[in-house]
Amino acid sequence: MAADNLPSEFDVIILGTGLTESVIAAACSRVGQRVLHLDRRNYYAGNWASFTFNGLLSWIEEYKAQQELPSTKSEQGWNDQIEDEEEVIFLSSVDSSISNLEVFSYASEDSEDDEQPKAPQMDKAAEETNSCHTEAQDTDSFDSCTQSDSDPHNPEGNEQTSKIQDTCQSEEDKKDQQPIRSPEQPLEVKKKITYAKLLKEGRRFNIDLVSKLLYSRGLLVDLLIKSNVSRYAEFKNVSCILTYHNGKVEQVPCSRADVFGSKQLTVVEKRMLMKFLTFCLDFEQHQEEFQDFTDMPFSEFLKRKNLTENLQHFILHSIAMVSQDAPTNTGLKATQHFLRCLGRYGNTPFLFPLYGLGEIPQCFCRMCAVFGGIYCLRHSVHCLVVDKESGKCKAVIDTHGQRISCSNFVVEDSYIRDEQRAQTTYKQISRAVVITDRSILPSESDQQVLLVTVPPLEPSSPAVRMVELSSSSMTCMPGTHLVHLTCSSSGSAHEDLAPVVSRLFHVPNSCKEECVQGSEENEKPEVLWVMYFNMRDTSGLDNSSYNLPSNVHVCTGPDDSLGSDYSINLAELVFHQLLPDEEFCPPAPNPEDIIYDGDQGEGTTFENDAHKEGAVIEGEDEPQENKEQVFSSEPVQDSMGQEIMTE
Amino acid sequence: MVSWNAANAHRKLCNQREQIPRLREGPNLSSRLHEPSGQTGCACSNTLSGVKPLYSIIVTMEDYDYLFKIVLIGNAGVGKTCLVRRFTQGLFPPGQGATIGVDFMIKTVEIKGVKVKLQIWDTAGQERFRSITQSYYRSANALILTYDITCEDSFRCLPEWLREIEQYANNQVVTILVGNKIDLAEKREVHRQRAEEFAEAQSMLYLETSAKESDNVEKLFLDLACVLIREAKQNTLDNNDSAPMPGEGKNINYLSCCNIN
Ligand SMILES: Nc1nc2c(ncn2[C@@H]2O[C@H](COP(=O)(O)OP(=O)(O)O)[C@@H](O)[C@H]2O)c(=O)[nH]1
Ligand SMILES: [Mg+2]
Repeated sequence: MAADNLPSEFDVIILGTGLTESVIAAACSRVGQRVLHLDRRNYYAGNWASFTFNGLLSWIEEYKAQQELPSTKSEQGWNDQIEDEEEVIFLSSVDSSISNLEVFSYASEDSEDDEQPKAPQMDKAAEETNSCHTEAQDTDSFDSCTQSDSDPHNPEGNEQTSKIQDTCQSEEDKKDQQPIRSPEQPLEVKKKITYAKLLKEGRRFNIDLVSKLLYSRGLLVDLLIKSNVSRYAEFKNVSCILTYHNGKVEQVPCSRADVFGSKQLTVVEKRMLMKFLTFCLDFEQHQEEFQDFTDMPFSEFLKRKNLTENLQHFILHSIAMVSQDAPTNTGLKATQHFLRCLGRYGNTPFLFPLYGLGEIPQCFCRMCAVFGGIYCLRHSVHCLVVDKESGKCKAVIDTHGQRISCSNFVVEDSYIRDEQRAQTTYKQISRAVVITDRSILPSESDQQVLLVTVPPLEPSSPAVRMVELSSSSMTCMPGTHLVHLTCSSSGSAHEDLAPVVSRLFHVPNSCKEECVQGSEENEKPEVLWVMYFNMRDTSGLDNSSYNLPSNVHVCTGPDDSLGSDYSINLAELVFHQLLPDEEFCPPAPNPEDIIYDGDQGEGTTFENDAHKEGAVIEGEDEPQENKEQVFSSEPVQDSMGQEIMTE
Repeated sequence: MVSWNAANAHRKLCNQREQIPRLREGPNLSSRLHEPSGQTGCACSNTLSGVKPLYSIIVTMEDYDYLFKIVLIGNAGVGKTCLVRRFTQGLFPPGQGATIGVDFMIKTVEIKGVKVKLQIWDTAGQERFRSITQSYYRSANALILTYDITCEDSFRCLPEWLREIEQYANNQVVTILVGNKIDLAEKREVHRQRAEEFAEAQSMLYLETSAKESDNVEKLFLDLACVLIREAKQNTLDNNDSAPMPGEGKNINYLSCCNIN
């Protein structure tokens, strides 16, 4: 498996395996391009990756190591491969897209007694003596140990939140009476999860660096369906949308059933909300309702519509999910999109991939490989070889010193050196990853996937989006929940998000002073482990931001929004720049519909026949004589008699 | 034009189901024409992970009782693709090469009256540079870890593969170690006993095959199917913990355009 050499010629070389690059790889390979797909890391998906707990710790170590010693690399072994009429552009060998990484562990360091159940209050003191070990890079900026419980006056009422549960349940589930506890979690006495346990069960975690959900009618879901890539993944629907409002977590009524079932809303509010949502569904038809507000913020529009404060909050922060100053049109469109996504797969508009978002880029990579794309992790490109005359990139020299020619080069932003950039200031995304001991929503089932919107706690602080995952999403070990917080940065991730974490969770007081927690503190989920970091948000950049040959395409992002439309749009755009006449991700044939020709004569390798092959499979040169025109858009799988040769 | 005949021998004519869960976009697919002969799959499954007892009801509405996902791994060149093609298509393709555009192969077999649909996934060449996606291992019911008995190196890499399995595959996955190319007995580099001991130490089943001579290939897949059926039945008896609890939301295996309520 090791010393195999790469072929020396490809149509497209793609560096980086994030979502955009992977979609481009699949799209190109699907239409017969010879694709080489590389990543310098030893895992797929770049900043879109998900890690086991232990994998994440290694990632953190790598980050630290990189901070300590800036790149010193041997630049040799390639000079002899460059001709006179060529010049080189070096790529960056370090990734500087992550910053301000900080880790705090509050899980007990005791190793052996994790088998022995304890009452929650009892062991706090013991556990906190050795908690707070800061693995931060730059802890000098803020002292983590002192800021743990910033708001003791937090009015945390649990009787409100407990009302929520009944409306969150889907009707078709009949096993209500069965207790929903995993064996490790006895009803009364909750067993403490120790740090050792997190390590031991580390492989049950799939911790995403990027936290997004799939809008059920978003571009990504459409693409997964259209391309048949969806067969590589499984999904769970987000079962409940919550919001932090008036100091407590409340359910957001979004569907018709929710609205009418809601116990928080008055009858008048229910009617008001239904009327407003109905209007939003086809707001374009009702110009007169909003044309006077087009220059005004959506929040103002909501006020003018005489919606109650409650309703304004729900619509602005949790349905439209736009900022206070977003224009009316934007808010209306966002609300409409939300409503249109309702009910396609469940009673919220969102899906989450089992095993984490990091699965999705890999699914597209698999599709690329199935169509002949070649995959090589731990392998990067050292420099681009540019033809002086045409100004185009004609080849690359890889990190093994091999020269590989290509017609197009697609690269993730983090591989680009500053010399090639027209600007070097970026937006940032603030992220927190929290492992907690229970769900934020007290309910019969602790196996839900929840979205929680947290409006700015202070007028100057950012709106935060929170996704809480349970072990049923295959992203954390039973007995824990995995919480992702995301916002557009205004400060460091810690500055932006720690206040929200301590508002919504119980952060064990890291310094020794044993505070007597209010009883409501004990109702909040407890933080076992938390990581903060910033990720560079390059979604604002475009071609003009780089000084690169015209056949070098840079993939920017991920952006800070909840969906993935930005990345899918970009992938399609780049694909059409590469191949203006080709279809973007036509459906792959369904394996169950493929008929093989019995004669052998195999030998189809990527080197020679890949193109012909793709063409045969697509059957594009065959006119569709299928009687059912409805399938004309899907030439492959639905023309039943079609034979797809493997020869 | 052969190929799927073996499979067809075991299956009834496909009835068109009125509601087909789809991952594709497009208008009502229920009306699509279907040619029963020479086709493998009419009945598209609802799920890729058929062991879950939850699905057995759905599954029996189709023309099989169980659906299992079997995944092949092992070094490049050991004969994984040949094993799959020998089993599913009954042929031994000369030369080495990927079959472009083929994702997984399907064969339905009948064991003691139980119809088992095997969905067999090949690596798509990603093993060549040690770059298999984690997602490849997800929801596999069984793994066929293959090495080449004429290639010591392919045997020595097994621990590395086992580490990968441990990381990414389901805990309950059934793993079978396969030593392929026994037709090349004179070139054997790995003794059978050594491999057997290794397999036993790792609690794997062990079998030696020749994709070329069709030695033990049927047996490999049928044995696996038997084990999987046994485990699935056991799971049904055990507490059914894979069913979603109230409010959890169900897993969606195939995204489709038809799920609109
Ligand atoms: N003699 C012999 N050759 C085999 C056998 N199985 C596969 N091969 C050959 O081994 C090479 C690699 O086979 P392939 O199935 O592509 O391996 P893969 O990379 O594991 O998928 C091809 O040249 C096959 O013809 C076998 O059972 N006996
Ligand atoms: Mg192969």
